[in-house]
Amino acid sequence: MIRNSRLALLFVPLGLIVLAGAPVMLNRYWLFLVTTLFAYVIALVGLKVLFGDAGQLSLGQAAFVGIGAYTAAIVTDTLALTLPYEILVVALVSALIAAVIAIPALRVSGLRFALVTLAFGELFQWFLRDSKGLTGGEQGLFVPPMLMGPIPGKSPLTLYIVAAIGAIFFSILAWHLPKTKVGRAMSAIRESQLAAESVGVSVWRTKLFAFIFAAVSAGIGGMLLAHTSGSISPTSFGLFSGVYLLVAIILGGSRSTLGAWIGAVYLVIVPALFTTVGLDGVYVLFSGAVLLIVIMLFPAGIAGVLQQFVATRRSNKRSKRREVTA
Amino acid sequence: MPDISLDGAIQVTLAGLSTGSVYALLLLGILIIFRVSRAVNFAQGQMGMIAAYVAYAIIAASLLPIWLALVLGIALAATIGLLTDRVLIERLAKRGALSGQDLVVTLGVMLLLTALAETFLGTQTKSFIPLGNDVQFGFRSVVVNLNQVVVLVATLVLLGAFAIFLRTKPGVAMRASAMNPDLARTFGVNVTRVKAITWTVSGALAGIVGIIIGSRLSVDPYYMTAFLISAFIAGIIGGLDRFVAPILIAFALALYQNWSAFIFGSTAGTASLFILVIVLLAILPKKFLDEKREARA
Repeated sequence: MIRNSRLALLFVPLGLIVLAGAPVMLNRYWLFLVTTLFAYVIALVGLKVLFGDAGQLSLGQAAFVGIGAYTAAIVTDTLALTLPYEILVVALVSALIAAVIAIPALRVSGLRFALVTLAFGELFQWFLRDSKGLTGGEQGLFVPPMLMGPIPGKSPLTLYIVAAIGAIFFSILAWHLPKTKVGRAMSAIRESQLAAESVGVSVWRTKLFAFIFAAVSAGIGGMLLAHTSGSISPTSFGLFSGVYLLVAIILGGSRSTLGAWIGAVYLVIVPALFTTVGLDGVYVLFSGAVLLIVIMLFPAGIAGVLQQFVATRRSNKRSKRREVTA
Repeated sequence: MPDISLDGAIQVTLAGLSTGSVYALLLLGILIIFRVSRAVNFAQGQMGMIAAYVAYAIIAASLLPIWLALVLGIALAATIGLLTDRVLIERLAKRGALSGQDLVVTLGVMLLLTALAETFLGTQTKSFIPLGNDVQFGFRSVVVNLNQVVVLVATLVLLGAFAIFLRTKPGVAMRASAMNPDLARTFGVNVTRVKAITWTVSGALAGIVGIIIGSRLSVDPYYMTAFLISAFIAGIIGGLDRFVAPILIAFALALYQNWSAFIFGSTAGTASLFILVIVLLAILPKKFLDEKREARA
């Protein structure tokens, strides 16, 4: 915990300055990218809780991002809901679907859990492509801007602010979670389900919480993605996207909230940088190779390396101090 | 609901068995790797894709005779299998890896192979050489092609040979290294070599499957995904640490898919598979679902 707060002391003020300065410094394209980054942070924070904290490997996170995105598109288009109600509906729909999927998914663990989430993701793809009346089929849907009363929901600045607030809110939740009772129950389940059960942890309820948390955060992230990009189609929420989300959180560091931010940078900013220098083909090669290198060299992800670095510096200082007093 | 005649039923069943045999071969590669390394190889499909794609590129450029191109493709897949073991998986194992990392590593190999194919061979769908798909013969109104029949027979022979192999000395060495590597070492089994050979064989199997499926459909960087998913479903439902149950389920799944596509239409065929998975896992009694070891990944 101390290591974490040390790191937080370093990054939080820095982050806030960057956040406030960004809209002034950045052009439209980069503001759009950073807003997208925030949306991915929210989705990845959910995966951090489900996979990093509770140890449940889900290949279906992209499908929940899709559920949020499609719900947002349909709800703003047909019901003209304003943003607070839209958020509520997206969260409710995501949570409800997660609760239904949980019935088969939470009976099993390990690979079988991964398989159920994969099956769910593929079914969702089939539903998107097959029910053209609701989802627009292969072409997808246009997404109307957010409805926020007098505030222009279409403006990039509004989107930026809403997404930033969302990303910070979910990050604080995920950062605080391991300190709560349910958070500790999650780590117990991750280490050994059997042992957790034997000390009275309700495995089913804890996993359900993690699964719904992941679904809701994916849904909100998807909602913001939909409004930011203005149009959505099934391919963005398929199996490969689910794998990439998983890769991003592992690369960033699945045990740390900072890992979700690093993962989002890897998903959004790094490909944009490659495009800027005209090497977009190289990114796909780079992303697979980088994943392998990171896993082989730093199993705890990039955030893990940073924490290690801070921790060793601290202990070095401490041992120096001890030498002086001795 | 289409009219189901006897001939129609035979036709659908034969096609299902033939699809089942490619699922089974793909799954066999995954199973033997899981046996010796306790790693789930997500890259199994893409190893096959690379084999078919490279063979396609060589044939398209008419550099070499077709058979040599196919052999080269399979050899390449075998090499990738060997390298994945030596460079990645074996190192993880030596380090005493956190559980689940092997899975991420093979996901990484999968992404890398996909990216390589996208970058160097393009994303367009290419029609592969037919390999007997164009040679049709039939009795009454049942039409089958040479590819289906040869693949089905070859798979059954291969599975039989594998069952015998497990009882020979190298087969026992393989099972011993899987069950208890340290004990196997004391009996003089070179566990590292057994693993390397297993990964190489599995890679070659993936290459063969990749080429068979490529010859039936067409090749692009993603055509193996659906097959890999089906093979995985069979493996995970049947249990990755067994052989007979998952292989039988692979055939059963293919029959189920072909029959539901035949009855409800081709798009429903895909959906019915995933509905089956969810329903199966929701209603199966707990004792069938408990994994022998503690949950991994």
